[in-house]
Amino acid sequence: MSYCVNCGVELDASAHACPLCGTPVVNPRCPVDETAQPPFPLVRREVEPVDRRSLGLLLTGMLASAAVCCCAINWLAFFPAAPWSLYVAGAAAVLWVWAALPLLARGWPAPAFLLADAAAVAGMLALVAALTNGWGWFARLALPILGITALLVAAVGGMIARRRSGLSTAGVFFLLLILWLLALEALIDLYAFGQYRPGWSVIAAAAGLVAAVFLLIVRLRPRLREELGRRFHT
Amino acid sequence: MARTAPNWYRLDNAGMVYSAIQRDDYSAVYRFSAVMDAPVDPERLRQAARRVMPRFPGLQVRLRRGVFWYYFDSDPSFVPDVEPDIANPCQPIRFSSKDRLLRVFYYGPRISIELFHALADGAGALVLLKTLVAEYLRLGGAEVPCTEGVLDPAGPPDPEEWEDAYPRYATSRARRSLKAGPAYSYTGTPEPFYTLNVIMGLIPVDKVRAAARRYGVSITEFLAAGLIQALMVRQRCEGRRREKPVALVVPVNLRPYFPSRTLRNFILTARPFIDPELGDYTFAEIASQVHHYMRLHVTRQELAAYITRNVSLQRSPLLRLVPRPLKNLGMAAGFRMLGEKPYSTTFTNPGVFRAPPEMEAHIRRVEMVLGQSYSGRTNCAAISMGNTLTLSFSGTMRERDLERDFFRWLVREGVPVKILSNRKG
Repeated sequence: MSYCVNCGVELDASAHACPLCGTPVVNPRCPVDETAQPPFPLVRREVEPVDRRSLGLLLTGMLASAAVCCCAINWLAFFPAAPWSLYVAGAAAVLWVWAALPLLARGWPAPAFLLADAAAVAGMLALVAALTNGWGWFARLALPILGITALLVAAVGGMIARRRSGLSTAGVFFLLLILWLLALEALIDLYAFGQYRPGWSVIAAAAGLVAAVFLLIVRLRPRLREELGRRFHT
Repeated sequence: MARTAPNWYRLDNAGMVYSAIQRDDYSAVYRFSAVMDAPVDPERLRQAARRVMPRFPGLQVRLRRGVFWYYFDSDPSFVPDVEPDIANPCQPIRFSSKDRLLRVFYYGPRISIELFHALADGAGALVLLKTLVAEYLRLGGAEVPCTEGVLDPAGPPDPEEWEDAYPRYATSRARRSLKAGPAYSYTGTPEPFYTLNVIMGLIPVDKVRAAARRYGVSITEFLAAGLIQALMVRQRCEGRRREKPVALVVPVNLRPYFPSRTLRNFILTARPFIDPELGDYTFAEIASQVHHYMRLHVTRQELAAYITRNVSLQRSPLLRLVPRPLKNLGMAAGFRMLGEKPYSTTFTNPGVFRAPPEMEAHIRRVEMVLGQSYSGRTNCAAISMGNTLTLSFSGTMRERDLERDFFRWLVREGVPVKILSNRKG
């Protein structure tokens, strides 16, 4: 029998190294027994992953049938001149990307889903723009707002997924919200008046800044955190 | 009028929680193994399983989804497949029509059973293991009597073995919640999904008992204190500004306190802990704290207050009417708050495995492995038979510092340890 020179524990005859510290077994008097049965099997087997494809396919069928039925009714009976059914079809497509795609496409990274969700909304907006001849607001207002909103969601979602503390996440959320509000007013001003005139967003940003700074200070000062926990406990 | 056997069962209080916290990548599964004195004959084991299972109607079930609660649907034809063992034990289970809540494996001389925790607790699972191994030995020509918890497979199932014992003892006027503050969480680099790293130490009982006596504590308290000490070292190494308490969740078998023959869940938990913010503790002080905590708090009266509180939640008319998916969300959130955050890790010790001497002669040792934990920590389980205590660490974490510190400490205490593992390298 061999012992680990670091840990002092006896090792199995088939062990090439100590399972606790990884030190290799070098024992000229008792070399590793290659014929001995290892203490645990070497064959791996895995249970099947949960299959959500059937639910995904069911959702796909429901949404597709709703879209197809509306289109058929629109063209055959109700107001064939006005293509209202395309809005329904577009909304069904957005819902499909949001709800059914995650069930059907397993293993995609989360940013890919976020990108797909944002692209679906952009597609829906483009459809509305095409049907109402509104490419102006689409390019200068809708698409940039969608872009900054997606960035905000991605940043906060990333922090939540990485299990950052609640206070840090809230603090960063408020900071990003300030940037989002400033950008929102700038985009609206540029679209409506052709120039940026800071107004309401600055007031909202000031309030947000107070909240963010407060949260981050509380986060960084354990004693203050404890004191607040004591005073406001429920 | 003769009572017909029920064809469905309600889940018990603990079973409800274990079902509600089920995820795609997590199930509350644990494993007991008996290492025999000769390689296992799979055909004989299959035959033993076929003979034994009708005696355990509470395990011949499927988990089904009701509108308000999960429930067990009786399936008297169910006999677990006897399969060759795998390197990654305690795989999650699936609540599908093909699911199996009970698995039987063999590897070399080892017979293993794996159970979903909603079916039974450790005491119930050990009765199944004993009865199965006894029948396996009988089929090989050995004479094994039905004593020391071995059930007679030919006998009729006893309804009291499948009672939900919690409501019977929910009689306390006081109600106590298991609420506690957050504890240090020992986590590390997660292994790829489905990997369960097991490091097992084989320890002579006489040596560990002698070491425990030096500190005036029981073997369980000695090992629990050693685990707390190893966790405190881990926390110190992380260099935190404020250290959190190190707390263990120690399952307590309620049968000695509240007489019941049930094989279903009948457990609660105790929470021995040390707060490093109070100052440094020597090992003797940790052992003394754990010893006195267990004696002070694991009492019939306190346990009854916890049972009453848990059962009252389950009986609340408003909560009962909440649909199951919403209940699952609420119970999972409650479990994270009350069952996960206040604890650093699990330490379970079902105690001494007693079997008739004719059976013990054919068993070299008994092992217990806890499945993955809810948040990827390393769990610890101990069980002993004869002079061998098997202590296993299992988890989905790549690091093995906790195990290393713990076993090195045991060696320093004069207890020889033999290490077995399924880790590669």
